Order: sequence, then C-alpha cells, then structure tokens
Amino acid sequence: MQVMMRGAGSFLLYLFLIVFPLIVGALYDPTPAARTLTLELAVAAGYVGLAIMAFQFALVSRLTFASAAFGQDALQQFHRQMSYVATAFILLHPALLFVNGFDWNMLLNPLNDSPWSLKWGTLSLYALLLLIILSIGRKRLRISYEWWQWTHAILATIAVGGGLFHIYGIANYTGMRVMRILWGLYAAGLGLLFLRYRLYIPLMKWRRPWEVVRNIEELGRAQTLVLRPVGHDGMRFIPGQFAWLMTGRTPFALEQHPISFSGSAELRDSREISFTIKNLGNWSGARVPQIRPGERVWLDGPYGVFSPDWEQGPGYVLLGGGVGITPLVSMVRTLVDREDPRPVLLFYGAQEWEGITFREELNALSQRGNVRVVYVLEQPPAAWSGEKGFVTAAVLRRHLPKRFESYQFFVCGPIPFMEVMEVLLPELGVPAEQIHTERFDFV
Amino acid sequence: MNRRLVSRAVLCLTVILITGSAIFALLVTPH
Repeated sequence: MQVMMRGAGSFLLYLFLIVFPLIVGALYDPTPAARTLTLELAVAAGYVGLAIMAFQFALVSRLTFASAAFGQDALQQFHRQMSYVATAFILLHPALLFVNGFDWNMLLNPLNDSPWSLKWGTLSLYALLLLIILSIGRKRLRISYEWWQWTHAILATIAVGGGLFHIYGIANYTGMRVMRILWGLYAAGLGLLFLRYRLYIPLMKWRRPWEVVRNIEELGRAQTLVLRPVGHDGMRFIPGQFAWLMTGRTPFALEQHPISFSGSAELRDSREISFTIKNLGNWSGARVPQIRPGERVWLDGPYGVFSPDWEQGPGYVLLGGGVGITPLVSMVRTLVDREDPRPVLLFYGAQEWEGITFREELNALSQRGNVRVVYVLEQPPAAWSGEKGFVTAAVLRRHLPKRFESYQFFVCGPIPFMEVMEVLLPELGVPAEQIHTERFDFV
Repeated sequence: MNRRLVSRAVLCLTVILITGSAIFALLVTPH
C-alpha cells in the first residue's frame, strides 16, 4: 500500500512538474498584445514537449524512490512511450507556428537567416528526431548497444540544451524573471541528476569493487560470472532483481549492462554472487567470455521489483525462455534454499535440448524442493516425450495446477514470448495484477 | 508492473497534457 501511495505521489509530482511552466505562464501572462489562439497553443506544445524531454533523464537515472514504486522495467517503458508523446508535442510546435505564418525555411534550410534563438529550436528538433530513429531502429541499423548509449546521451543533451537556449532566446514568456528562474531550476536539477549519475554513483561504486572468482561456461551459449566483494560486505538482493554490471577499466566508463542475478538470494558466508549472461553478440559475446578470474568489476544495484518476495501467493508459475531464464532460476534457487513449501511450476521454452541453460541444476532443484519444470522444445530430439513447439494455452492447461488463478505469475523471455503470454494468461483467467513481466531488451 | 498499465498511464497523461495546453492557450489569448 505504501508503495502504491508512493507510486501515485511520484506520478502526480511528474505531471505537476510538466505542466508547472504553463501554470506560471498563465498566471503571469506577459503578452497583452493580441496573439492568436494557435500561436499560444504552439507555445504550450513546445513547453510541454521540452518539460517531458527534461524529465526523461530522471526516469532512467536510477532514482530509487521511483524505481522502487514502479520497477525499472516499467520506468524504461514509460520513458520510451513518453519520448513519443514529447516528439508529438515538439512537432506540433513548429506546425502551429507555420499556421501562424512562420517561414518553413526555418526548419528546412539550416543556413537560413533566422535568429540564433530559432536555430537552436531547429537543432533541438532534429536531435530529437535522430534520437528516436536511432532508438527504434538500432538493431536494423546494426548499431551496437554501446555506441547507441553514446549517441543517446549526446543527442538527448543537444535536444534538451537546444530547447532551453531556444526558449531563453525567444524571451517571450521567458522574458519574465519567474519563468527564467523556473526553467533555470529545471536545468539545474537536470545537471545535478547528471552529476549524481555520472560522478557520484561511479565514485561510490569505485570504492566497492568486486573480483571475478570464476567465469563458467554454461549450456546454451551463456557465461556465469561468480563475484566476490573486495573490502566491503557485498550486496543483498531479492530473487528476480538485477544490477548494472561495469566491466570497463573504471566505473566511470559509460558502458554498463543490466544483468539479472542468477544465484540464490540466500547468500552464504562467502557473500559470493553470480550473474549469468547470454551471448547476444557485442559485449556479451566478445568481452564476457574473456573475463578472467581476478579481474575487477563494479556493480550498481540491486534494482527491480520483479520478485516473488514482493508478490506473495499460494504458489508461483514462472514462464521463461532464452535470456529471460536467469531471474527465474534465481527465484527457484532461492525458494528451494529457503525450503519454501509452496509449489513452483516453471515453463521453460527452448529451441533444443542441448541448448538449455541450467538444465542440470534445475533437475537437481526439482529433486530438492517443491519445483516442477516443464520444458517446451521447438526442435525436440527424436525420443522426446515432453512438450513440443511453443508455450501455448493447451500446454499451460495441461500442466497448471488446480486453483492456479490465485498463483503469482512471473514472465521473462524474448519479446514475442512475453507478448503472447500477456494476452494468453488473462484469457486463461489469471488476474492482471498477478502477472509480472520483465524485459531487458531496452532498445 | 504490467506493461498495459504503463500504456494506460501514458494515454491518460497525454489526454491531461493536451487538455492542459488547450486551457493555457484559452486563458492567455485575449478575447
């Protein structure tokens, strides 16, 4: 309940901060001269768009009060969808200006003779459009996640910075001191968040290094990194959570990767923790297998609310496949370590028997605890008597226990798998609030 | 948190922001 209140509070605060410049503008309206309704609407669209852009960074800069309420996954999705909303508002801004007789050349010809204040606005718009294109089309354009992170940071800075220079230069509403102070505070807040994210957090992490103890090759092209805290007491997490892993020379390197804990949350005396990373090319394919025992790495975390510890129920149904299996395995290991008597049913979708990561371990866990694993193979071996094809409604019905409607469901896997489950489970009668999802495929 | 809830929240927010922008424009435009 407290989390829900905090969630509602954060949401209202976010909404208020976005419309606040409009409220101030309406209260201190500086332009008694006749301006058309569409021109004022253009101002409103620009202000709302810029405010959304300015707060985009706050959504993904790992502020714990927000991520604890919604989960990092939901915040990432919110961030993405709000960027479309911001783009729509920002595009509406010049469109309405053209209705009021402004010259199209301002946008189409970068060398036009318009004042700098307008050129900043144009630059901001183009940076935003390029940012959206690169985010939607990263994979199709074959840009690595690492390069994309760089472009995203630079383009976002240009988009927001350009927008601020634009409104300060126009000096209509920002001709008022109160409005200049307000946007100045937003810019300062953004700057502080940036310093916290790029300097303060890495500095704190630098003092808490981790050492790679083992780098184990798993079935299904995956590596498990076992880490040990060096000179500090380590990290407590709950099953299903993740941390940002930094394998650069220092934690100040821009490159970071969100990785699920794969081990049990019931840590033993050694305080060793483990992460399992699927080989998806780039960093996970080139760098991770090369990591040697003794190397130093850094962690920022734990994050995430995708956990049975947050969602109590008479039993758990876990549905996963591919890269998504890691947090689910952490859940199974933890529940077994705790000798939790509640039933756990894991539906594990995989291509073939040989590529099933954690297969041996899951079999051992199902001997130790109240755990059952249903493998669903796309390309089963000849003598396979288990489930074939994909996880469908028929497969689920065959294995779900009685009164499964009261269980908690955790879904983590490839995007198409998740989309199917999000439709299928409610159709089977699982209430929406008992279906929990996590995606790591951010862009 | 379910993704559908996020989409619903975004939709709701968009409607509020459009309404807010329209109210702003109406308030500051001289009649």
